[in-house]
Amino acid sequence: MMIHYKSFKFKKGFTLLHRLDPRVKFFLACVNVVGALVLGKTLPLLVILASMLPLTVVGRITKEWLTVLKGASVFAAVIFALNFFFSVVGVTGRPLDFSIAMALRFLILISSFSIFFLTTAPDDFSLAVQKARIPFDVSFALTMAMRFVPVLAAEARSIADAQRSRGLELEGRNLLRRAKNYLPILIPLVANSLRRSMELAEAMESRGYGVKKQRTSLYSLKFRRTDLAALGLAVLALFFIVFTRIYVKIPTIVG
Amino acid sequence: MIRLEKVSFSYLPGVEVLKDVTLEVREGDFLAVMGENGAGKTTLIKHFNGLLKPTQGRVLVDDVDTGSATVAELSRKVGLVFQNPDHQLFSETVEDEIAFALKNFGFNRAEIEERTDQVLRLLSLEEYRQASPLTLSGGEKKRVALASVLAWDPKYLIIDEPTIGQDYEQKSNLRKFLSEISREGRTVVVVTHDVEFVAECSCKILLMAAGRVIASGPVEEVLTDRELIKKGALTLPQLVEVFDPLSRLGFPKAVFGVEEASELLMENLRRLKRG
Repeated sequence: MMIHYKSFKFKKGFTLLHRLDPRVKFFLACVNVVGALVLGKTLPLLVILASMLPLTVVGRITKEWLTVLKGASVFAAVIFALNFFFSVVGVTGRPLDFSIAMALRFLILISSFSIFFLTTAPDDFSLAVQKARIPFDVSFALTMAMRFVPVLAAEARSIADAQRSRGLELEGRNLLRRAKNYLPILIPLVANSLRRSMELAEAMESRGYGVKKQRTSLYSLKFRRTDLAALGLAVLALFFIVFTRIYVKIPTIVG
Repeated sequence: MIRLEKVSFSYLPGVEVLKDVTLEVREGDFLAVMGENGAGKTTLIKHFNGLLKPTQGRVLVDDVDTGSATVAELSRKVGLVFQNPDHQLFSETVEDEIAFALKNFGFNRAEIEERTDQVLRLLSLEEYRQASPLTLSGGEKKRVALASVLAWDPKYLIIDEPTIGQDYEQKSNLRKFLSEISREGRTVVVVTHDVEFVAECSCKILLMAAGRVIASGPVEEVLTDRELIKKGALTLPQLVEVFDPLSRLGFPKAVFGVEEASELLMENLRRLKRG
């Protein structure tokens, strides 16, 4: 696994970033994504990526974030290589700047959601989804999916162990054969997930899930002053991004 | 011989799951690794075929350091049957499931067919040959998993928790089967906390607690030692509980087989009746 599942798993903490309203954090992640998508040059994308560093310092997740970047850099390199190859072939503008920008775009997309999930408790996430008027069944399924990622990862490891003990080789150069060799892992994984979801549904129904139509929550989300301030900053950043996109001629720094 | 020399292992830095374990599994041994949940039993056997490499010390399988061989190479000799068959069954038919490892280990077609037939017969699975392994019952799945390992005839057979989810009859069939292949000379290691199952096997016990081996010896020695049983968070076998007080009346201190116990009691009661 090149990008470890832990990159997206909630890491308990009580920092400013952890306590921020999940909706604000989600909006912040979206602003970063919008920035990554509308600004297609190396310089502004570097600025966005760099702006994440102080964020991770506040949330004390810098180490995790760097692991994410390290894992994602393999894919980023592939994206860079492909873009560079095709833009050189197609002779478009500045191939080097463009290709670096594309790789950075990918890193920003991964990082922004990694930061969101690293600092947002699954319960907060589900509350936020509910507040967004999404039906409870759907929001519950979403949180469940999130919660089961570590379980699935652990199970995938056990399955891989069992199959390797039966002589399955997962290393080797031939890509096609390697892909085929993952079938003995994928099939039990999917079969077990289906079985588990059935069992989970039965167990939940046996404990009265869905009896009351209108649900109430023990905790509720409230906007505080820090949330407002963070939201303000995020809106400002969004405004700045849009402004840059429309009015500023961004210099090409490489190539 | 599988040899562990001062093996320590931790999944996370600072948390040792195995602590300074030294042991030997000799050819022909019939060994039960016992201990409570979390004692390190499964972690221990994952070292036997190199799935886990020790963080300290070394593991030798027939004098080959597991650090210098691949899992596939080691598995050819050390067959590991996992606790949960759902973690390995994936083929469309039971027959294919058994052939999977044989293909991986490079057996030719004739051999694959012959060995598949053989293990299907051995574990009474012939009628399920064409069935999908996913549709079988829990006990049958366990048998298929065992068959799929036994098929390549590994020198060392390691089975993790074979009795979980098995009814009494299946358990006693399994015990007979393991005793038989052990008598034929195969090395068998069973990981379990099923005291009753082990009590009726004539095997050696390796008792683990908190990552250490706290005792090793024959059934008669380990499963009658109240102190050890307590340390290993096990319970005494029921027959031992029965015969321990009876020993004051001149009965043997420990009896492990139900048949043996019944004969002993019958004989004495008969004598009593005759006066």
